[in-house]
Amino acid sequence: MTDEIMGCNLRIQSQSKVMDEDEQLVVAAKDDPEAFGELYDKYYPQIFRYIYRRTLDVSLTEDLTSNTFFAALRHIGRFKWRRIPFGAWLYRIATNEVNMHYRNKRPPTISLDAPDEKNRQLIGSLEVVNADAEENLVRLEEYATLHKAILTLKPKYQTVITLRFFEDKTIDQISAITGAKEGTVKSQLHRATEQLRETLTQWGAKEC
Amino acid sequence: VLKAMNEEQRFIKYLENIKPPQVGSPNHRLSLRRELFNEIERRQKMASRKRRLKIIYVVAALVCLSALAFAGVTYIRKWHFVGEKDGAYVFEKDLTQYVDVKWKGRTYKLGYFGLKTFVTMGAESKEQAEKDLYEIEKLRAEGKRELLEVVEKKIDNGETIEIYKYKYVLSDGREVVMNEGSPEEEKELNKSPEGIQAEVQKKFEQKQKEREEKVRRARQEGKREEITKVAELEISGKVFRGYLAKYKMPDGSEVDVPEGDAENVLRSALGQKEFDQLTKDIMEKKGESLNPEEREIEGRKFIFSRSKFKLSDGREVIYSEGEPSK
Repeated sequence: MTDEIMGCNLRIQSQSKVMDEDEQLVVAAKDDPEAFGELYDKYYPQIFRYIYRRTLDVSLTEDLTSNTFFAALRHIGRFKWRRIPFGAWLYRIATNEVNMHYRNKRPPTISLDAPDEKNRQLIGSLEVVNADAEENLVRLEEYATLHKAILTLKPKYQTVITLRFFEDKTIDQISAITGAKEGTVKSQLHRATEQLRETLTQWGAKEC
Repeated sequence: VLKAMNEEQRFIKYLENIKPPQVGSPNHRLSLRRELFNEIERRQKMASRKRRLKIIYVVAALVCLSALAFAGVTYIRKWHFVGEKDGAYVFEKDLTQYVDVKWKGRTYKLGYFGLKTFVTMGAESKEQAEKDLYEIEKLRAEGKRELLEVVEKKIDNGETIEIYKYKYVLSDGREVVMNEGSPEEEKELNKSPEGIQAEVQKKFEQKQKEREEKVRRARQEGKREEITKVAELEISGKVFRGYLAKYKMPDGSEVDVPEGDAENVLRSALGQKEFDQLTKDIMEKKGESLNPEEREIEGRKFIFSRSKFKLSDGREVIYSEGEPSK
């Protein structure tokens, strides 16, 4: 019990320390490019990875990541720390960028073929973090099929599924990112999971 | 149901076990970093240019009382765009208000003049400046501002005034520093119509008493030095004339004393309504300009500026105002 309490306290303390550092950087970043650079270095990998997992297209990911950070730079003066953490704010901008991209495009064409050759080839040109290239290729193939099914969902469902299962975000973190209440997030997740399962079952591609 | 639940749980487990591809793009990471830094640099240059221009918002206030009686009610409380000056957008709000005051059985219409000027050099457009202006007014009313400092400044007439520098944070994050008057002046500018009425009545009574006392003493003890102003109204071939004469008091001070009863004679000749309208038109310089004239009054030459007015009954009136010729 004591350990649990201590562990809990430690976690809270460590979380609040991270927030403090970010908070200071955000305040400084309004005038200091170096501070913005630090935030960029810290969050670029997460945002790039998230957008890639939403789009599975590297050049599109690069464009949308650029848009995200430029938007953050433009609006950092208006960022209010008390509302959401800076990281969640960046995720929110990235989510808007991705959803806007899909809104402006025709709905993606879903193919039941194997993952695109394009993505197979791209894997070689990408920076692979914590995984060797071969393992990553396997991951990509598996993920690509799932991603196609995810693309059939509404953007808000795509968002919660990606954040929950592939970005390991908790319900309250997703709530901060999307701006929806936790109860809403839970029900969105439930519906999204259900629809995704049905789609994959229809495709016969589910590997449970 | 159980089967469905099991399937759902299994599916969630499946999703949780998916290992998404790890990805990054070092070249893009570096090039975006560079682009962002260039953008920050560009913004800093812009900001320093803006700082040089400085978002100077000035609220200048002038409140005065007129002892001249005239009729008509104008009540303008809206900001209006005056023009651009040296890259700044200038807006004005006319706070003029006319109130009725009573003195010895007579009613006088007095003008309570107020003018607020808003000058901005930082806004990117006239529309932006106007939007800022209303937002600043709202923030001021809500007390959402920070007093940075109070500085003393000598103005043209040699008086020293206090300038209060307040910082306002606009909704888009811009910080604006306003040079404003003292809290007392601000109170003065934001009086209710009833407050203005009461104040004007009080000040007018006080001034009239002082004036009457001075005139009485001047006539009793003083010596008329010279006529300083002549006002004439010519109507249907009849001329009504009034003077303003300078009297020197025994203590060396000088007092301007009105002489003649032209105003009262004219008022009864025209009727109160017509008289009020005419004096208002004269004040607002609504007449048709005529050529000036030079004439001698009591051995002294005066230059008369002249204008022609039309009464509601169609009669014409020529108003002449003479100042000593230099």
